[in-house]
Amino acid sequence: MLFNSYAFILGFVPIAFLVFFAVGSRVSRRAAMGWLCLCSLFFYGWWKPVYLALLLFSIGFNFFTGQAAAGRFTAGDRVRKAVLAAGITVNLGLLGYFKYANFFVGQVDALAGVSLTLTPMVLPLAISFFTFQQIAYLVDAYRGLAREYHFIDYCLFVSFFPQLIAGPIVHHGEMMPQFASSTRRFNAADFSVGLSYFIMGLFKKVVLADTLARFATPVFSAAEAGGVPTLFEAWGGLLAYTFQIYFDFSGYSDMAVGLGWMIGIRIPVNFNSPYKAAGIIDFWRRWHMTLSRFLRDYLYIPLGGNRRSTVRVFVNIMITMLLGGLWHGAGWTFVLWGGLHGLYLVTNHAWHTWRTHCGKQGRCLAARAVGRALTFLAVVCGWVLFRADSLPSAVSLYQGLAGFNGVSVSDNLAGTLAFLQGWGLAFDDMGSFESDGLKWIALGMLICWLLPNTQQFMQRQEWTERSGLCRRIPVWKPGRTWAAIMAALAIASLLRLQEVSEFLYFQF
Amino acid sequence: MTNDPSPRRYLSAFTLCLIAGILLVSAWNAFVDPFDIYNARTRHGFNHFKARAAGSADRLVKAKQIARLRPEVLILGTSRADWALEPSHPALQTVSTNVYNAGLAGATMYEVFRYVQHAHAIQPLTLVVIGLDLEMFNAEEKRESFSEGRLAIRPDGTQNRSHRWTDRISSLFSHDALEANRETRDQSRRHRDVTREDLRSRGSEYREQATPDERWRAYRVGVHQARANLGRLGDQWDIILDRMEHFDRLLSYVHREEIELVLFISPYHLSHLEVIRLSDGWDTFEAWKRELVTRNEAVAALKNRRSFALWDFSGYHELATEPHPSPDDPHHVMTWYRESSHYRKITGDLILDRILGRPIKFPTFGVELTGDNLEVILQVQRQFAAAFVERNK
Repeated sequence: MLFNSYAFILGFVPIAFLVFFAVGSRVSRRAAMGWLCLCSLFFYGWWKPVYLALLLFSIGFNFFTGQAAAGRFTAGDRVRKAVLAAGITVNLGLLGYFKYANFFVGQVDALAGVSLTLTPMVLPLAISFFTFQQIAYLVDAYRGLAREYHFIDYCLFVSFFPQLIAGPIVHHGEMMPQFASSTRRFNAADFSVGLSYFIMGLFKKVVLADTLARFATPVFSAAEAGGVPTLFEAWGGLLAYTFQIYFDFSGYSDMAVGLGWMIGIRIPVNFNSPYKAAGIIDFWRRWHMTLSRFLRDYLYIPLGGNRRSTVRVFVNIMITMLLGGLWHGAGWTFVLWGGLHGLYLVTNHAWHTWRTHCGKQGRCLAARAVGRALTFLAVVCGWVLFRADSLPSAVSLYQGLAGFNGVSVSDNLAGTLAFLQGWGLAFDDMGSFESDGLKWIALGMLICWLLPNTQQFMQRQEWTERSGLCRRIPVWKPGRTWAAIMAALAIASLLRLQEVSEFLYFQF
Repeated sequence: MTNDPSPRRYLSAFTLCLIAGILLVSAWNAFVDPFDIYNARTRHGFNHFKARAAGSADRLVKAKQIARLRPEVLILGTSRADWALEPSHPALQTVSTNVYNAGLAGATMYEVFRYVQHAHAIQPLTLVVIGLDLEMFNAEEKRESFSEGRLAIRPDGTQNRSHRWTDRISSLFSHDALEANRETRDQSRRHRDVTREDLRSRGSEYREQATPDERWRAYRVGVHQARANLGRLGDQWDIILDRMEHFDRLLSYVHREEIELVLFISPYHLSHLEVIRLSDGWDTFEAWKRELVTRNEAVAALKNRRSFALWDFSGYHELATEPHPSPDDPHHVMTWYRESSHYRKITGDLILDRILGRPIKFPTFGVELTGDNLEVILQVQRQFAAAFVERNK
C-alpha cells in the first residue's frame, strides 16, 4: 500500500488510528500497540502476502536471537558471541539471497564463462531496512545496550508501518521506550503537527517529485535504450533527477515522521537540507541521516573509525561507502556510486587535515559559497551512477554532460542562433522540457536552497536553527492561516493521486 | 505539549478548508465538463471546444459517451479511423442516424473487442465498422489508460453495473481534469468560429487545421513512430499471433450477437510502407493479412454464417504515393494524408463509400479480400511495390 494512495489516506490510516486511540484510551496501552502491530503487518502483506511470512520469521528469529545474545539463556561470552555471529549471518544471508544472489551469479557467469541459472525473484519490500534495524538490535543486545523488550513492542519496532518500507532506519533505543511510556490518547496538538508534516511530505512527493520525474525519466530511459543525450538534455535530465530523488525520499520521510507524530511517536528526521551542504562530510550528515548513523555506528566505528592512522581511516571510509553503495542495490553502478562518494569523503577529510595542519580555521562567505557549489556539483555527478540502469548508459550520460554527444538547443532558437550551426550547434524539438522542465528545476533549486526544510518550518526538532533568508519565513503555527495553506497543499496533492507512482526508495 | 484549544481550531479550520476546496474544484469541473461526459450546459466561447475529449482522455470519454449517446452504428479502430471516418457520412446515416466514432489513439485489438462489447451491452448494435492496423496486433494487449472498470461488460462476460460510477473522481477531482478544464476554456476562446455542432459532425476537419510547421513536425513524428512500431516486424510474429486471439473473440462475439461487421485494412502512407519493406517486414505484413482472412472465414464456418467483408486499402496505390513533404519541401500539403500516419477525411469518405457499396473514382483503391483472391491480390501489391521502387531508383 502506498502512502500516496486513496486507499492509504482515506481508508487505512483513519481506521488504524481511530481504533488505536479507542483501544488506547479504553482498553490498554499493550492492546493499542498490538493493534498497531496488526495494522503494520496488514500494511506489509497488502503488497505481497507471501513475504509477510519472511517478515514474521525475521522478527521472531531476531527477537529470540537477541535474547540469547544478551545472555538471557546462557551467560557464556563465547556462546553469546557465537549466537550474535549466527544471527548476523542469517540476516545477511537472507538479504544476500533475496537481493544479491542474482547479481553475484551474474558476475560468476561473466567471469567464469559458465551459465548458472537462478530463478528471478521479487525483492521483498523493505528487506534492506528491517535487516539493518535488527542487526543493530542484535549487536546492542550482545553489548548489553538493549533492554529486555516485550515481544509485541519488538514486533512493532520492526514492522511499524510509517517507516517500515523506506525508513527512516530507526534504532530500538529511541523507539521502544516510546512504545512503553507515552499516552495513547488523541492529542490535538501532536495530531496537528503530524498532519502538517504528512501533508508537506505528500506535496513533496506527488507534486514536486512526480512532476520532476517527467523530465528526468525520459533522458535516462533514452540513454539506456542506446540514445546519446546532448549537453543540455543530459544536464536537464540530471538536474531534474537530483531534485526528484530529494523530494521523493525526503517527502516519504516527512510523511513517516508525520504519521508518528499523529499518534505521539517521534520518528527521527532523515534529511536536513542536504543540498545546502558546504562539503561532502556535511552532505552525509544531512542526507539519509539514519542510514549514515547506522553505517557510522555499526560499520565505520567497529572497523576502527577515525582512531587509527590516516591511511586506515581512509580505507575505513572507502569500505563503509562501498558497502553503503551496495546496500542501495545489487549492481556495479551502486558500488561505483558508493566508491565515488568514498573518494569524495576521503578528499574532504584530507582537505580538512591539511587546513588544520596549516593552522587555518573558519571560512569566509565566498569560500563557503564555493564549497556549497562544488559539493552540489559533486553530488549531482554522482546521481548519474545512482540512477543509470547500466554502466554503458551512465557512460553515455557522462559523455552528454561533458558535451561529447553534441549540443542541441530548442528549435525555437533556430533563427536567433543560426550562426552557431557551423560550430556544431543543432536545433531540436525540446518538447515540454523547454516550457515546463526548466521552471520545475528552478522551483526545485529555490525550495532546496532558499526555503527552510520541513522540520525548520515545523520547529519541532533540534536542528531548527535557521539562517539567512530562512529566518524571515514564518514558521508553522496551529492557526487559521496555516490551516488554509495546509488545506491548499493537501488539495494540490490529492488532485495528483490519480497518477499513482511508487517511491524511489522502495526498490532499496 | 499541552492539549490547548488552538490545535483543535486548527484541525477544524483545516477540515473545513479541505472539504470546501474539494467541493469547489469538483463543481468547477462539472460546470466546464472538459471530458464532455456530464452533459453540462455548453457556453459558446467558454466550454464548447472540448479538445481533451477527443484527445488523450479518449478511452474514458468514449466509454462514457457510448453510455450516454447509445449508438446503433459504431466505428472503431486507431486514431486513423477516429480522425478520418465521419459518423455523418451518408452511407452510414442510411443505416442509422445514431452513429458514433469510438476510434482510440493507439487502440489494440483487445480494446476494440471490449468497446464493441461495451457498446452492444448498452444499445444493441446493427453495424460495426473497424479500421485494422498492424500496430493493433504487435503492441501490448491494452494501453495504460485503458480501464476495464468503466466498461458495461466485465472480461468474464458478466454485467458491470458500477461502470457509470468509475472515473467520477478522476473526471471531477484530479489534476488531469483541471488541466483539461483549462485547455477547454483556452481552446473555446481561440475557436469561437467553430460551433459545437460543427465539432460533432465535422470534427476531423478541425483536427486537420494545423500550421505548416506543425504539419511538417507531425510528418516527421509519424515516420519516427513507424520506425519504432513497424521497423522490426520480423521479430514480432509471435506477439501478432498471440493478439489474433482477440480478433477471433471479436468475430465469434459479433457472429453470436448477429451484428453486421465490416473490416478494412487502413491505407498506409508510403513512408510507412517503405519502413515495412526496407526493414524486411513485408513477409510478416502479408502473413498478417493471411491470418485475418483465414480466421475471418474459419470463424464464420464454425458459426455457419457468411464471413464478414474484409477490405484492404493498403499498398503502393496512387493515393499512398502522392508527393509528400521532404526536407526540400517541408510545407508541401498532401491531398489524401494529413501527415505520414493519418489519412484525411476525404480519404475516409472514399473508404466508407467503397466498403458500403457506393461508387468511387479510384478503381484500384480498396479490394475485398477472400481466401480465393488473397494470393493474387498480394502478388499484385508486390508488383505495385516493385514498380514504385523501379520508378524511384
